[in-house]
Parts: sequence; C-alpha cells; structure tokens
Amino acid sequence: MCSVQDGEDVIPERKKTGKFTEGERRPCMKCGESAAVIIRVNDAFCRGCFLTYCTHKFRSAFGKSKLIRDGEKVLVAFSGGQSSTALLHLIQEGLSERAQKKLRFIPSFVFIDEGAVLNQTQEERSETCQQVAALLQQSGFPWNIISLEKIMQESNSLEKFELSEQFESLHVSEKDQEELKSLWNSVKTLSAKEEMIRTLRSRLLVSIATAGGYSKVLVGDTGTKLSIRLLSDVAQGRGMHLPFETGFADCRHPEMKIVRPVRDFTAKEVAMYNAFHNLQPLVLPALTTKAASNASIERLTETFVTGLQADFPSTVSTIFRTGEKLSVEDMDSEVDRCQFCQAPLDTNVPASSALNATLFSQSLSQKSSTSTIGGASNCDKTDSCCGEGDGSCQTQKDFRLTKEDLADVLCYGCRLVIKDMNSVDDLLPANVLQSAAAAVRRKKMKDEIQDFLLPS
Amino acid sequence: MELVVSLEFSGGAELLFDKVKNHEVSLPARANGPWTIKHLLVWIKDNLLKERPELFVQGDTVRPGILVLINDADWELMGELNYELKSKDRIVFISTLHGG
Ligand SMILES: [Zn+2]
Ligand SMILES: [Zn+2]
Repeated sequence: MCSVQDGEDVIPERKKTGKFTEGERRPCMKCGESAAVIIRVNDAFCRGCFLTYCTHKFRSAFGKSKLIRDGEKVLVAFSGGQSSTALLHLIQEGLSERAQKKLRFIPSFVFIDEGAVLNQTQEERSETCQQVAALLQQSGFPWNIISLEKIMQESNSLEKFELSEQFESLHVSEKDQEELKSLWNSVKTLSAKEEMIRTLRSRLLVSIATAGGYSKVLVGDTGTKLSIRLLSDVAQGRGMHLPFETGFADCRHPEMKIVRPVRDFTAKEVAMYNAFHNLQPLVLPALTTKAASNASIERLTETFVTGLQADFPSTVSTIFRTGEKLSVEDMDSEVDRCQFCQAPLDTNVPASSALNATLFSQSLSQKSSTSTIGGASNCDKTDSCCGEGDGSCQTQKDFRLTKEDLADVLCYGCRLVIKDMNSVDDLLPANVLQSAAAAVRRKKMKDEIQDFLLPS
Repeated sequence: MELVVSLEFSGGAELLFDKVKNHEVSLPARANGPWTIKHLLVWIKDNLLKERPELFVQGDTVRPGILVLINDADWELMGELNYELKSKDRIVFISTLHGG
C-alpha cells in the first residue's frame, strides 16, 4: 500500500519508454489501495471502489430523472452483449435487499432474435436462444424471447406478450420470415441495413412493451455507443433526431418511453465491470462482425471515436456533453411524425433549404430517365379516393403506396434508407404501410382543401 | 528459459482465434532482454492469430477499443507495452467493439 505523495495527482505522463516496476503502480484515488483500473486520465480506482462507483452512478441516473415510479413494471431489452450483461447485473444488485438506495421498479427481460437477417440457420438461432434463455433463467427475473420476424405481422401491436418459464423453440412463421428476408435483401448498403434493423428492432420493442402493458423500455446503450451514434446520425441526415437518439429518455413514441440507464458509462467501464464481477457476456454475431473498419458509416465512426479515445481519454465525454446541449421540447402529440422511425418530421422546411434543393435536383435528373419505381404514381387521384367523403375511400383495395408517396411522410434519414429499394408497398411491414397510407391520404386531403380554409 | 503465461480473449476478440478463449502459452527465451507486452503482441500475431490481424493489432499496439488486463488490472496502470512478463501472468484481451 502506498500513500499519495505530493504532486502525484497531476496528470501522469503516459510512459512510452522505460521499464515498469510494480512500485510505480498508482494508488486508488478513493482508498489508497493499489489501483486496478483507470477511468479518466486522473482517476485510478481499485476493484472495490470502482464497483461502488458503478453502482452509485447507475442508481443516481434513476434518482436524478425520477422517470420511473416505485413499483412500476419496466421491460428491459437484453442482447446478451457487454452492456446488457452489466445492465442485468446492476439491476439485480439494485433490487437486492442489501442495496443502499434500493431500486423499486419491477423488471422483465426480452431478447429479440435477429438470426434471420444475419443469415443464421435455424439450428444456430436455436443455440443462441438457448444460451440467452439460460442466462435469463439464472437471473430469476421473468423473460421471453421474440424473433425479429414478428415485426412483419399485420397489426401494429402484438396481441399479447407473455413471459415464459423455459425456452422450447423459437416461434417463427415462415411467411413472416420470407417477408423479412425480401425486405432485408432490398436494402442495398450496409449503412442502410444498420439503420433499417435499428428502426425495426425499436418498433418491435415498442409493440412488445405495449402488448405487455409496460410504459418504459430500458436499453443498454453506453455513452461510447451513443457518441458513435451521435456522429453517425449527423453523417446520415438524422441531425434533427439527436436528442431522441442519444438522450436519457427517448420520448418520440407517445405512449412509450425508451430509457438509457447506462448512458453515463463508457464501453470500457462496462467491460471492466463485467470482468471484475466475472460475468461472461455472450458473443453473438452482428452485421459488422469481422468487417473492415470502413464497412459502414457506423463502423467507420466507431473506428474514429475509439481511435481518438485511445489517445484522448475524454473524447467520448466531450462528444457526449456537446450532444447534451441539445434538448427535446416536450413532444406535442399533434406533431407530424415520420411513419417509420416515429421521430418528428424534419422535412417541413422552407423552400430555400438544402433539403428542397436536393429534392429539386433529384426531380430534374429523374425527368430525363425513366422512373424505375413500381406501381402507378399518377393514378392515385382516381384510385385512392372515391370522392364521396363518407369514408368509403378507406375501403379502397388498390391503393398502391409509391415510393414517392411514402417518402413524403418519412423523415430525411428514413428516406435515405428506402432510397435504393425498388418498391416499398410489397416489402415494408404491413403495419408501417397501413399507417403511412393513412398519413399520405390525410396529407393529400389537407393539400386539396388548403385553399378553402380560412387562415388561422 | 521458457516463460509460461496464460492469455484470454473475450468480448468478440476470440473470434479471431478460432473462437478459443483461453490459451496457455510458453514463450521461448529471448536472447536480448525480457519479454514485454510489445513483444508478446508480435508473438501473438505470428503464432496465434488465425485471421484479419488488423482487427487485433495496429502498428505495434492493440487496436483501439480492445482492453488489456494484466493480472486483473488495467494495463494503463502497468506500463502498457513496456510491462515485463513474469511466469504465470494472466493477460486478458477484451474487445469492446460492436460485433467484436
Ligand atoms: Zn479503492
Ligand atoms: Zn424516420
């Protein structure tokens, strides 16, 4: 044990040369024992003090926000990875009797199996689910496993979400699986695929939570992951959505809040937490497993951020604090939302904006080439409304949603995702198409009667 | 004299090592000077890595986003690349990168 010497708390030079001896090891800044982990340049902790620091940080995230009431049921999205594993453990600790500031919510866990889009065989998917089920069973909390294919079902919310006792087999309808695969294959770039799966996953989580009677979903996004997302969102035209994508609570869905309780943790802290507790996160394949560092915009941003973080350990917190300055105003339930990702529409901008300039040059270049979009885009005047005004147009069967129609009710970022798809009306989940079609009709009707409205 | 140390790869780093997490290795005696982490990384690259070395080492150090623990302590506290290996040391590499 060594005591803190004068001048020892100044930022240590990272030693690039010279021999290291055990005696030089820095003491824990809290108790003076030999340190085991460096969090920021100046903060060295021993194992015990580091774990206490993690628990405090986790509890205070809930305390500060007062978002979750005592006794409230919450759904926790569990992926089996580093941050989910730490999240599960932190919740377990926080609910235990010996916890000082006890957490008082009631968690259930859900795992979404995405094997279909990772080209896994049925056996591989089953094996993954078995592993996850074993972990969740061990935790003692209620849980269930749902396949991503469920997103292709007709209705917007699942009829019911039940918690299971044990894992028998993954229920996947063949029709849903086929549909999901053709949707997946129609998305061309890896960047767009990553965006697509993120939106599908979050839509599914929200419908699972709705069906189960929850009003909060907890997800395990770390600060590192969110800083990467922040930068890649800007690169992918989602700058307007940053407060939703990276905030403590994402409140884009009117009835459901998505909460990020480990957003104050870095990826390193989460991994050290697991290592010190001897927790073994699962290693499940992801879209970019073993991919080159420039395979997608997100992957490239990750390389950039982690590279910077290695040399400048305050990178993540700096990016993060910049993002913090953007806040979300309370969302008005009347606001027009993107019909895919549910964030407020960012496309309602003045005629002189960059967006409209882009659209204008697109329309010019399309005039010269024949449009490859399926469906008749000009017949909607006659097809989509019977003109009776008694609601009978709702029953029209041959309303075909074209890509242009759909783009009209999507945010800029989602427009980029569907940009390369050949058609949309036979690919996107039925529930997305239904709500989009309704939004398109509303918008058209509004445009048609616009001239007759008194200015308000 | 040979130096026996145990290596562990996790968090997805093991995917580059035929999915084998734990490796007991004996390092041959070095003619000039002791074994350091810097030498160990070169040895791993030449003897253990099965594929895509650039996903594990970059330059003479580990790829950013891969944590190194030396006997359960952050290598940043232990002199990083200059740490001198001792017999029975346990070196753990944890990938914190998405998808490993
Ligand atoms: Zn301590
Ligand atoms: Zn959107």
